[in-house]
Amino acid sequence: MLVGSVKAVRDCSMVIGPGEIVGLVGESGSGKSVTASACLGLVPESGRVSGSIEILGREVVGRSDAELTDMRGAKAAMIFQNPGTALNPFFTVGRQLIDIVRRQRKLDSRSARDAALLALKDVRIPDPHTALDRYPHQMSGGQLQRVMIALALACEPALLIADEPTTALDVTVQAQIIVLLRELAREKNLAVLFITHDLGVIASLSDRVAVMYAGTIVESANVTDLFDAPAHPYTCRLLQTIPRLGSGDTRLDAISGQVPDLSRLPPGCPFAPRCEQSTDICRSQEPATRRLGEGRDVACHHANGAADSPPSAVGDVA
Amino acid sequence: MSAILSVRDLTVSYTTRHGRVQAVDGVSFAIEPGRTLALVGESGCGKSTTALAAMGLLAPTSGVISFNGRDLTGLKASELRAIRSEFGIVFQNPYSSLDPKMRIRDIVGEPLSATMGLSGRQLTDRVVERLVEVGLGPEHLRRYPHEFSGGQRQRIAIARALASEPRLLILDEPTAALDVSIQAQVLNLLLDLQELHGLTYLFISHNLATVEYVADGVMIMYRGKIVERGPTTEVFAQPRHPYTRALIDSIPKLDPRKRDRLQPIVGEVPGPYDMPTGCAFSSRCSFKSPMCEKAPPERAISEAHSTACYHPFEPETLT
Repeated sequence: MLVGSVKAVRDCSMVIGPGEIVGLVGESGSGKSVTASACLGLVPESGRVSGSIEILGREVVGRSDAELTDMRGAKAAMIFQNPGTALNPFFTVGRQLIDIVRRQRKLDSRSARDAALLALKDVRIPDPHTALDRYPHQMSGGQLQRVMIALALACEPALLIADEPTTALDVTVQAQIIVLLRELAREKNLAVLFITHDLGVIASLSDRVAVMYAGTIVESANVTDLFDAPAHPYTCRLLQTIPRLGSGDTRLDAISGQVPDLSRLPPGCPFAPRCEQSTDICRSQEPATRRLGEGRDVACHHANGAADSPPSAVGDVA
Repeated sequence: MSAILSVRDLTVSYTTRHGRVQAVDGVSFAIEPGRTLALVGESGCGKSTTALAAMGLLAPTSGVISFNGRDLTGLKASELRAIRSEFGIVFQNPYSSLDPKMRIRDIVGEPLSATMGLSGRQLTDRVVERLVEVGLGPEHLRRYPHEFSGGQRQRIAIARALASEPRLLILDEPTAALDVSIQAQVLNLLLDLQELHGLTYLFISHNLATVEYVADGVMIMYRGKIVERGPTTEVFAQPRHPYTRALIDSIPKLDPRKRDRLQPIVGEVPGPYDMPTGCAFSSRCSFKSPMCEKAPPERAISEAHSTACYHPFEPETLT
């Protein structure tokens, strides 16, 4: 039943360079997963996408299903939060890898098997020969996520979209996957769009960060700049609200209120109802995205000063 | 002070086609009134099983569980039910723990009618009282769970857990399914309620930072056993067991400059049928010695801090 339309994502712009890891962070319903899905033409049929998304200079928006199928895997690939549901339980890991490699790279079965083996080695699966013949239920969550990464990278895409790939994993396994993705991005000059709600993961993984709130990017910056001097009040509050180990906090600084309903967005800035710095203009006029400094954009009427921090050397593509 | 809940040598094991699985292996602890004790560990370590057994919701293979000095093991179902009104439980997922077909008044009121025989006006008044305590107004009484956000639902689950005025709350990952901005609200609420009612908490979590924030004491669990326990700040500042330290080193720090400190431990948690003999962590531990093939007993480091390891870290080695 269609009751109306909701703008899940509004006016989002970003660029990702080769070998660069960009973190897209936001809470549930902020639009981060929709943004990622749109990059691969995976928005559900009821959804409409406007604007332009280019991967290696090729436009994604408006492509036919057949063209998109050819691009997926070959140009860009995606991994998801729950690897257990993304793999087919009836086929061995090897079979699923070989199928993809044969489909996209047109290899014969022997070289496809070699490619599958190599893909498993790349993601540091212990004993890759045995792993090829295993079914998904015979593997742990961490191993399954490695298999998913192997599947995604088997056709050597330029861009990997990772949608909360560590959220369902335990911290010790998450740490292994973070380190693996960092190494793969460097080794393969792979561009990574990493979607998460966890700012700690962003800090340990990405070169640049975009913070989403209620469907828009409210701030984007170099990772060190963002954590040193967050410019948007939402980013500031988000950082204050996370319990930190060893901080000795006796009271957490919670953000009052809730994320707004996207079908009933307030006029003006979507964060204004929860923002302590909001003024009349925030409640009437949606702030435009302004450049505060090198690679540093913010959508807030009041943000300033934070641009004083020196631009960092890592991964500055603007 | 005497403990409100004490668990001694709790063991829960299952017999399966492939052999015997030891889910909880000789766990002992005690919680004093008004305190918060945290149980920390990764998926499958046995923390939730321990909590369920402690509440009499799951029959242990062996062990003694006493609540307010009364042994819960061996009690009849009807006797257990009477005692259960003295403790409440809040689960991780407020989307599955609230009945979607029940109104909020009935969800929060059910324990009151079941254990205290309240009904009508009296019951409604009590429900409103609980709802107000968790920050929800009386206008929500007739609403259904789907009309609430995740954070609000967890508030409702807390109100229900508190309905029969229990003295002990078991909090099983109460904020794991919530967004960070909402997590802080719920944690603060739990601390406020503890102060207001003098509640005792058993807090189960895999998130060390939230544990440090709410708990006085912490127990680190690995493969069914407590490997380290002590005052929360001390354990996290000076972990002695290699697993505790590995857990701490696995948490991504909120500082991009410290990203190289993220040091994953090698390997994976052993499965129930391929457990190493002796110390369960020995298959992944870089300090392993021949001694570790015999299970290490828990040894005291200071009055309140102990660890089950033959090669615990010395405090000086940590910076």
